[in-house]
Amino acid sequence: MGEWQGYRLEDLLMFTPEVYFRLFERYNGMVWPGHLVAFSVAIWMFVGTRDSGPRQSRWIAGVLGAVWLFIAWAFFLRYYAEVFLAAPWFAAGFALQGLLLVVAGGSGRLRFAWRVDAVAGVGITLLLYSALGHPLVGIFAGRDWNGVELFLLAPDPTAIGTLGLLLMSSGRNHWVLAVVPLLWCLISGATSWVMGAYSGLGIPLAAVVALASMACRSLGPCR
Amino acid sequence: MRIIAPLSRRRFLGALGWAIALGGISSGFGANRERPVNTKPVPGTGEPLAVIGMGTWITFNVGTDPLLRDERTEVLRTFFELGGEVIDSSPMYGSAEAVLGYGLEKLGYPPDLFAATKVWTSSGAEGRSQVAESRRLWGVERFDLLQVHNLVAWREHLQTLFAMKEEGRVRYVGITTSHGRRHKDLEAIMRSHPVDFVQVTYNAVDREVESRILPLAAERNIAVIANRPYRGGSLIDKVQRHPLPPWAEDCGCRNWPEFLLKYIVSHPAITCAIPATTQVEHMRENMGAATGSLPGAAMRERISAYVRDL
Repeated sequence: MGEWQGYRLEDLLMFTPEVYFRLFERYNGMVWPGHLVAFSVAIWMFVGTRDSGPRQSRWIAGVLGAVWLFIAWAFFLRYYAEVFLAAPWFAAGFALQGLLLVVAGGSGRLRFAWRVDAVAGVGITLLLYSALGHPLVGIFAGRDWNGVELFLLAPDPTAIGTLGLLLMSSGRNHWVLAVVPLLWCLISGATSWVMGAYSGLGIPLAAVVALASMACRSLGPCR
Repeated sequence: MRIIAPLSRRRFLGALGWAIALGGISSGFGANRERPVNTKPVPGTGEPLAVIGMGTWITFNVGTDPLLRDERTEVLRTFFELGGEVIDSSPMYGSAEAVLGYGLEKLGYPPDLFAATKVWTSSGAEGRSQVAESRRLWGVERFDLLQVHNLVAWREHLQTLFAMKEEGRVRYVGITTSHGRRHKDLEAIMRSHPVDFVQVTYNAVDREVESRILPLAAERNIAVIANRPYRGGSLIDKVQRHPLPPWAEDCGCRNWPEFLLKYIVSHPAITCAIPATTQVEHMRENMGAATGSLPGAAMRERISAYVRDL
C-alpha cells in the first residue's frame, strides 16, 4: 500500500463519471432479465417483513446475504475492478457482509417486522427509497434508463435497503451487520462528491439517517 | 505484438520527409497537419520530440467497454494525425495501458509513437515484471522511456531501469512527481543520478519548479515533461468561463488550450507537455499548441499573471 501514500481523496478517482455510469449500463446488460427477479424479490421482502416469522426471516436474511455475495463477484470483480484498483477490496467487504447476513439469518438472530415505532418507520422509508427513490433520482439527474441502479442488483441501493431492513429487525440494533453498509455508503458518497455527481449524495445521507436511528434506539429515546 | 526498432520512428520520419519533398507522398498519420509541429530536442541525445504529448490518467481508464475503447482510439488517431509523439501512462492508471494497446493495435502502431510509462510498485523486486506486463499491455517490445512513478521505491527501481538501459531494453530513464510533491528529493536525485527525463507538474499557476527544478534540468541536460497542464481539468474549466484576451493572438494563441499549453512549452527547459483528454475536438485544440509561434519571456509573465488573476 506504500504506493498510495501522499495522495488526496480527489487523486484517487481514476475514472470519469461517464466511465462509472457506463459500468452500470454494461452490468445491467449482463444481468438482464435479473431485474425482473430482483424486483419480484424486493416486493416479496417488503411484504414479507410486515410480520415475518422465524422461518421467513431466515429466508429474507439468506437471500439478502446471497445478493451481497453476488454483487461482490458480478459487479465489483467483473466490472468495477476493470477501472478501479480498490474494487477487489470492496468485493471482499461485500462478500464478508453476505456471509454475516447468511450466518445471522441462519442463527435466527434476525426477525423482521413493521413495528409501529419511529426506528422501524425509518427502516421502511429507507427500504422504499432504495427500491424506488434511489433509481429515480439517478434518472431525474440525467442518467440513462439502461444504467439504472436497482435494489438487490447494484451496491448503493442494496446497502441502503439493507440498513432499512436492519432497522426493521426485532427491536434491537445489529451493529456488526451495519458496519459494511455504512462504510459503503460513505465510500460511494465520497465517489459521487469527487465526480461532481451530486445526485449520489442521498447515499451518505441515508447512512447518516440510519446511524442516527440506531444511536437513538441504543440510547433509549427511540425504544 | 508490434516490434518497434530503435529509432525506427526517426528514420521513418526522415525518409518520409524526403519522400514528401520529392514526390508529394502522403502518410496515413501526419497527413492532416495544417502547420508544422514544433519540436524540442531531448538534451542528452538531441532527438527531437513534438512539444505536445498526451497523458492518459483517468481519460484512458475505460476498462473493456468496447464503445469507449473505440472513442479513445479516435482520440489517439487524431493525436498521431496532428503530429503527436509522446504518450505517457502508468500501471497506476487502471486499464489505461490496456486501452492504449487496443488503440495502438487498431492504428497499426504509428511509427511516431514515443512510448513512455512508469514503474509503480513499492517492491523493488517487482520492477522488471511490472515493466514486462506494461509491454504486453501496450503491445510494444520495448519502451522509449521508463520512469519511476512518484518516487516510489526510487532507489531500487532506478537501479533496475539503468540496468535495463544498459541492456538496450529501454532508451531513456526518468523519474516523476506531481502536484508539487517531494521536490527536494527530486532535486537530490537529479544531482546524484544520470536520469534522462524528469516529469513534474507545471502550468501557468503551478510555477514552483521554475525556481530550482527547471534550471537544474537545463544545467544537467535533463529533459522535462510537464504533467497536469490543466490542473486535472479545473484550470481549463475556470479560464474558459472568460473571454480570451485580445493580445493572445500576439503569442500565436487561438484558444484557451493553446494559451495555457504554449505558456508551458515556451519555457526553455520544458521538453513537452502531456495534456489528457477524452474528446477528439479537445485533442485538436491541444495539438494546436504544438504549432505556430511561442511566447517570449515577457509575454509568458503576462500570460501567467492574466490566468492567475481570473
